[in-house]
Amino acid sequence: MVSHVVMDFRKILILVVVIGFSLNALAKSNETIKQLKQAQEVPVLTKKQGYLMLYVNVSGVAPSIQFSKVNTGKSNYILSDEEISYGREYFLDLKNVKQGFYFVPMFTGVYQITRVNAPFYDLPYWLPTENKSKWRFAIEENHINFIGEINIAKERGKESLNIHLLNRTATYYAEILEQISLMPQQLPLKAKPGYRDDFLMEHGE
Amino acid sequence: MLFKKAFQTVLLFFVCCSCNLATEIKNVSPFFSMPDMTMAKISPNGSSIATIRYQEESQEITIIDTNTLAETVLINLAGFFKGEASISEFVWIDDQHIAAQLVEVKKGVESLLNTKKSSRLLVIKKPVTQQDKIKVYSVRTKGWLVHPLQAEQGKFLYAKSSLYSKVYKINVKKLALEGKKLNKLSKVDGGQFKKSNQVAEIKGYATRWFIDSKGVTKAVLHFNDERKLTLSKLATDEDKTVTELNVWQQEFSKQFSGEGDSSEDISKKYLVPIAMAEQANSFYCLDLNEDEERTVYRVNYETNEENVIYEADSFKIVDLVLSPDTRELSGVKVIKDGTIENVFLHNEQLKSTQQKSTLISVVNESTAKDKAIVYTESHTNSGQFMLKSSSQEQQVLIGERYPALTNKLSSKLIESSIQVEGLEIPYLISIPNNKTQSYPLIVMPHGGPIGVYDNRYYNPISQFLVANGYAVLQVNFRGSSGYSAELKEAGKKQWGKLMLEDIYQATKAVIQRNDIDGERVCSFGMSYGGYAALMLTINHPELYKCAADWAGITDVNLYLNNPRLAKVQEQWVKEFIGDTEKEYQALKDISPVYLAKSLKTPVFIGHGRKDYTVDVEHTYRFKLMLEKFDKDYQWYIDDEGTHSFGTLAQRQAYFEQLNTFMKQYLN
Repeated sequence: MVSHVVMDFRKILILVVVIGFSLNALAKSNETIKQLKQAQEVPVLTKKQGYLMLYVNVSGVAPSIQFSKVNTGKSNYILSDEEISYGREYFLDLKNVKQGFYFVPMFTGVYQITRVNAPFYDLPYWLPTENKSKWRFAIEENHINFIGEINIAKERGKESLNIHLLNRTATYYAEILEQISLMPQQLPLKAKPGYRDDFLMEHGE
Repeated sequence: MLFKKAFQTVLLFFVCCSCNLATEIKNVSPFFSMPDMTMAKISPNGSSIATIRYQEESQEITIIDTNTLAETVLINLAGFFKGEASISEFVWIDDQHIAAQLVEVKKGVESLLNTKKSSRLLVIKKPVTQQDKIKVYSVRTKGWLVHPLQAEQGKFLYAKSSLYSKVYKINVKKLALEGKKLNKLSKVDGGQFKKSNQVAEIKGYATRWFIDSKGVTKAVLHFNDERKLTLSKLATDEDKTVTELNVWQQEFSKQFSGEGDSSEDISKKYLVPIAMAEQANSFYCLDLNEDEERTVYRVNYETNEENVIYEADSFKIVDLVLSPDTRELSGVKVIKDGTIENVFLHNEQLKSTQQKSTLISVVNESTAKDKAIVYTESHTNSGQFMLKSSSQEQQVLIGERYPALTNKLSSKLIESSIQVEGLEIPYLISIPNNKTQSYPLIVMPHGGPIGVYDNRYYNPISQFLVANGYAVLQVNFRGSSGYSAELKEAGKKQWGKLMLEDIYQATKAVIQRNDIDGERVCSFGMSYGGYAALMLTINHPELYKCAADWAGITDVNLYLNNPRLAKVQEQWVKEFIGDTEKEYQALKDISPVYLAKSLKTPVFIGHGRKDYTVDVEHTYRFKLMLEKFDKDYQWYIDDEGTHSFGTLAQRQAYFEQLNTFMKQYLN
């Protein structure tokens, strides 16, 4: 009788551990880890996908960014802060990433960078960017969507971080075109920050 | 009031015609070099003058004998520090000792309430005889000098901040020599930071102590238990009663983080005391909610009365310079190109007897008031320190800010105004003193643009252009400070509208003059001035035959969406420039990038790649559009350039190119 109870207890314990691990795995699977690719090595897009293109210029021990798909049925990608509700989460590791242009295939839609991690030695510094339109971007199908320069400055104060997403389509225009020419698939360029910016449209791209 | 007075009394005010001995100087370098003497202070007994000079970009302290005018170097900072350090304050402790407060030039120097700034105090003992060696002592305990206590030989007050902040009376004799290793038995700073030397105390981190001319601690600015900035009045009674004069409810932390409540009302001033004024409970204050701290207020915290007493022409104020006896404001310390510079104010007592074309400011006086250091500056005088003595009629020249320019600047300055849409718009014209019949005109709108103005004193850029044969027009268009609240307020949301109209109307008035050639007019400016320069030639190509900009805003919406703007600044630009969400199209319509197609004149566009105020993207956007529409343009990118004209080498490189461009299209 006693041994039977012990057996049951072991079974329950194993079940609890298994469920625990499964739930944990399920929770983690909601945060998709994305890999940065250079122009020559980008994977082919699947249906309803476009390339996220960014210029990485970061320093620090283990920088990374977290972003989320924004749940919106609207065709207009410019949203007010009240309209934001988040879906799937993504994680982009920028550790040891050399300064330059990178690409990530993404499904179409609006995305919000929610947090930029910029640890400083053993201090877990991070910048919350939720709901801020300057940290939002849209991905259009079969387009290269340049979102700007993610910049984490080397110089930093004890109370401040210099982390920015810089709108620099014109600054890097020549380099962007050069990068696009290296890609296996030639696609048109778009730049859709979380606020209205007519520059690229007016320039004729 | 000042504004009305100025224009009621003089409509056309001819000022100085410099002496004919002036010799021509056209090179860039003398106008944009490092200054030589930047400060001079006389000792309490009037026998010596301590000065700060630059030697090959390093500061040194020298001593000048007021009888013989012989000068000796006391110390050169380059010999003391490996890192960049600059003297933020220096003062005579007594007739033998000079204290110099040094700050490291790095982020943090700009913050008025910075609690983590790195600073140190050196005390230099002046040699009495030629055989004596110069002795340099230092205070190793972190803190800052708050009062020189000139009446007490070799003693001064020094503040130290932490959970409890205190002021101590320190004796120079007990300090160790700078750089000397202490042995095991020696106490740091002679063990002087102890209760018996303590003269004031407050709970919480103190950022400023307010002490009267006799060395009595009257008030302190500090953080209370709830991290709220607090101004407390200190009584001298035995109980040492502390009375709160004011508590600021606004969170201080946003000053560092750039974050904060976006709904915060920035129209409310956040007046923080910087120095004690003449009257009881009155303080000189700066408004931390101002776009950049450029206005000095006098506030009485008991009556809540506040008055504007000074508006800086352009740079951010970080500290004030006061007469030690009268507590009258004699100058401000500003951040210019990353270093702290003194800007002297016209002395109130001398204002009525002197021509206003010359700035005259008494820097400090000897205790007996028989000798004084006087600073003078005008449009053709780049700044001189004079020794004024009651025994001598003539003032004696002690040193100059830019000696290479002495007797080499020759121009006349004309001050006038014009009515535009019911508002009086003042302007200044600098005209070369050559024999030419008429001069080409460069119209030079100032940057800012709200709360900034062009004054009538020395301006290296306009004098450089004048020396090269151009007349220069500087319009204090609506939005400018320095004249009236009405003029400043009228600039709200007028970036591409009436501000430009003011400049255009002033230009039209000025080209009527016989000595101005209306067929050879070009616009040039930096930041907003660059934006205005481009817009003027786009809108009026028949008048402005070319334009040049440095760090100009070319896409107003892009500027408003600058990710580097703090929340408070975002609110400010929304109120003063426009709302990019609601007024996108209107702001696009006044952006040079989207008007490039209609440009008819050649332009020279320039930018620094490390400009964090107006991103270099602005110039790249404009360039792409100029290329698209096949326009005539030249451009210049400085990879190390910031939102200033930069170092001597950077300035030289840029202004040589600018001069070449101007010559190409105006001569």
